[in-house]
Amino acid sequence: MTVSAAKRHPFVQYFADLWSGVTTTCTGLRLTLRYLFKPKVTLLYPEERPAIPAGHRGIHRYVEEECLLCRACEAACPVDCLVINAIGRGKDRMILNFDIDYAKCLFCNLCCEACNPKCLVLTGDYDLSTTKRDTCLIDFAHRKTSAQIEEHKKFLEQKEAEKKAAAEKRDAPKECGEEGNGSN
Amino acid sequence: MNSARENRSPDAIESLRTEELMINMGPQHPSTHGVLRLVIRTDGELVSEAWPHIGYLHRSFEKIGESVNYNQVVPYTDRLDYLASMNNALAYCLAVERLAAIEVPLRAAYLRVIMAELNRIASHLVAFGTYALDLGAFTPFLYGFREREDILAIFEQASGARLLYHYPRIGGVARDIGPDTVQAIRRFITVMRAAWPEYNALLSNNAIFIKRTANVGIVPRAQAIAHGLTGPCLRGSGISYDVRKAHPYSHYEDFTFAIPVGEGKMGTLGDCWDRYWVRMVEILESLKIIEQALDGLPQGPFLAKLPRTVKVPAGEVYVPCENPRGELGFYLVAQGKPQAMRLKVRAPSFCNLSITNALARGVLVADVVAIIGSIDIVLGEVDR
Amino acid sequence: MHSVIEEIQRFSPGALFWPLHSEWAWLVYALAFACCAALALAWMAVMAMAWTYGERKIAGFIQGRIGPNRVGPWGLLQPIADGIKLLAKEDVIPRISSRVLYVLAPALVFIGALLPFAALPFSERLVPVDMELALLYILAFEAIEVIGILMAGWAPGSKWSLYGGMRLAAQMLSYEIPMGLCVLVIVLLCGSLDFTEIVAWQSTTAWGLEHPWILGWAIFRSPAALLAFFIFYIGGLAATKRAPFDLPEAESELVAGYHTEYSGMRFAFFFMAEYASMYVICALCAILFLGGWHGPLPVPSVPDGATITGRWLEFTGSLDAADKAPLLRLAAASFELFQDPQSMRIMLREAIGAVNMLGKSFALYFIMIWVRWTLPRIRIDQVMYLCLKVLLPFALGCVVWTMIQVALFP
Repeated sequence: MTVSAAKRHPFVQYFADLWSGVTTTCTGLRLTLRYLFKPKVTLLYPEERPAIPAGHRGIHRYVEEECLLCRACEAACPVDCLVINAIGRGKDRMILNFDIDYAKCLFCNLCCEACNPKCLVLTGDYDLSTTKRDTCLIDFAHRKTSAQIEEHKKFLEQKEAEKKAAAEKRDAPKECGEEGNGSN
Repeated sequence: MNSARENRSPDAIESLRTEELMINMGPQHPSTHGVLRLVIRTDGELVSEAWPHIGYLHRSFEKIGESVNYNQVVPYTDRLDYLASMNNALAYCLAVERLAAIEVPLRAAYLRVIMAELNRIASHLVAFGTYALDLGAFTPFLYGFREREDILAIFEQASGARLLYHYPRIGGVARDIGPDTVQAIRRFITVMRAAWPEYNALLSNNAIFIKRTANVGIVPRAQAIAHGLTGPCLRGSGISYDVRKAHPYSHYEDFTFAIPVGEGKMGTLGDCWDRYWVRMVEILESLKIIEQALDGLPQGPFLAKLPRTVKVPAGEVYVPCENPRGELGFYLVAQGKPQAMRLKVRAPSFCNLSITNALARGVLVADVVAIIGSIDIVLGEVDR
Repeated sequence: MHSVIEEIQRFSPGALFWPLHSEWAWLVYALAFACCAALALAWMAVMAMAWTYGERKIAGFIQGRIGPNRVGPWGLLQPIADGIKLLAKEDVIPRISSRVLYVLAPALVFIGALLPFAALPFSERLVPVDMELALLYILAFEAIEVIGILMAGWAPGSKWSLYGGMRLAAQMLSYEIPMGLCVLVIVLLCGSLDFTEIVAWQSTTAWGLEHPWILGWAIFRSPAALLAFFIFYIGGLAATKRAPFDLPEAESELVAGYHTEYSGMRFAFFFMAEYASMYVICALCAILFLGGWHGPLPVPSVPDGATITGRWLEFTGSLDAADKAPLLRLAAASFELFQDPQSMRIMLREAIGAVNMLGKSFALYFIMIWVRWTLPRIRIDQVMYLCLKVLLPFALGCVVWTMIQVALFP
């Protein structure tokens, strides 16, 4: 299955090979010599930095105040690196941990796309190297002291108790109302 | 790089003649094909057998495909053939869309084509550069990567990442591109067209390169088809089969482009040079496709309206796509749940690698390097 | 050509150089030789190190990047950092290796690369050791390197490294044949093996000009010499295992080769030997084919037999034992030397000659580096084909042509 050039006499082929060897070598050498004098493409990192476009998928930024605690990001993550630890719901919630394990995170952006209020976004910060494995787990929630947590728990319990009392008050007065109404 | 003594398997010792040697081209290579282990048995100078041992990069992709949701699989598909991330995700999304009867907007289809072709060029530049590196020419690698930097910058603008893009999504693409990106792509096309003849001057037509690759690793037509080769490996043997023409997807039928095929120009049909040349010419053809897609890029949505969790009815589908390395297909078996029942990957490098032993018989060890480089494998998709 | 020590012997009258006439003469000679050897070693080491830097910079520039630029201004201290790194590495000797040969191999290769420096001149009178058979001496040491390579292939005890070493030795040895034939072309044309005479011959009448300047170079005197130059240069590339002939080195990346078992300073010996022998080849090319120190820069002429030491000794005169301040007299003589026009002329001549010589050698060195970063590697059987079927026939043709030329036009 040979579709090469027409067969030449070996003598001719010898000199043809030799000549092509010389000429192609010279062509290559001419090209590299030209490149010797062209401007260089090196970026002297870290003094010079590359231009990072908007939308670059780097480390997360989380705005706790806007978070609805819908846990859509937690569900969307393909590698389960996002773990949210919170007490309460809605406006009464207190987010204890918003952990992202960067040893697992793919930077795939699914969590941010799932976020409705866009309180979770990927920023352009790409320089994330670290030498210790435990620094890979980053908690984005604000640090809360145990006192604050206890206080909030009490607040929630109190609210729960009030709600319960209000609910009982609504349910129980069947007898009271009958009594009141039917007191004849 | 172990010495011969440690690598003799037990049964080889009994039958070992004094001239035979088992060499391990270990999982760690200077050549950048990944963690491939080649066990080579040489009879003096010539290779008598060369068996690839794979699995060093196995990451259970197919098992993961059964446990996460359909749209959560897409970031994993990026990591199969990590040099052709756009193409992998596209193939998977097409499979899901075919099964779930999801209509992809035209703008999204064209964007997918542009990104897939740009990724094809980037992947072929890596193949070109690393092949030159294997053969001892260090400079073409850097020239290729210089052009590839432009592509990666375009991808960074479009998707936010430089290598694992997560850009094609089920129903379309992740983000739209702006006029800056379009301008960057057009600029790149000009730059690439100017750089292409330089690659030929430096490497393709170089007498030493031709001596190393022509008439080496010849794959006859029948053998190519028997081993299930696809992509440039198949077309290098003269068979004009390209999935983009045979089973067009993502509106590839709207574009005019040629299928480069090996002709035995420098040696024999189906040798390493032919496969290499097919890749080089495919770069030019991809530039044509990108230009046509940019010119005809319609306005419109870039992602179909879909529920948060994609619902795929029960059934099975296989959609082949033309990856830079060959035919990639996802055989998807759905069961009506948010997770697939089975997700099998037909990886092109896995099938292309099967021809290694047949080609390596009777050649020098230096030729084995040339052969592996011309098959152009990426271990990410060989091992999955 | 007179070396410093012979000069001193010739001119040494009286008591000034009493050590040379006493039983301590051997010490003086030994010190002098040690100084010469140290200078040669220093020159070789500094040059090899500097050219590792040069190679990395040139490679970077060819590839569109900057090369080393962090260690020192423009990265000039990079070779020192490399040296420190290699010195600090653990010295590993494989258990199954032959210890003696393992240690001896890099030493032999280094010696084979270092000792030619004793005979390589910078200029007509700037040479560590003056030899009439310098050419043969240098070519002989290229062969000593081959023994070192064979030892390096055998010592680690791995069959594959033996294959690699043998193949490399075959490459180096077989390329010495065309190289020797090309040298023979020049020797036939000139009629002498002495470097001074070869270079002097390249400044005699040629092309009808009495002072032919560049046209007097050997490559312009005979087409056979021009072809011999290219063959010698390509042979030199192969003999020093430079790309495109570095397949044995590359093969050692994939499988055990002759120098994968070496690390740290031992590897540095191989490395420096390679760069040093590249310089030897380039310097030989410059002397034999490109006119040596009669180069682009015009060299002033001086009367025959005038030397710096001769002038200096004339200024010192003779000191007798009664002289009160001999050292002062020596110092005064040295000072006078820099005011004497003839000795300044001699110094200028030598300096310009050295600049010519080094310029040509370094230009050829640059071309070696340039070629390495442009071309892919040649497979070993193609390397042997190139030597035996291409270079050797053409080299023989050159020799035959030269023989006919010399016979017909003496």
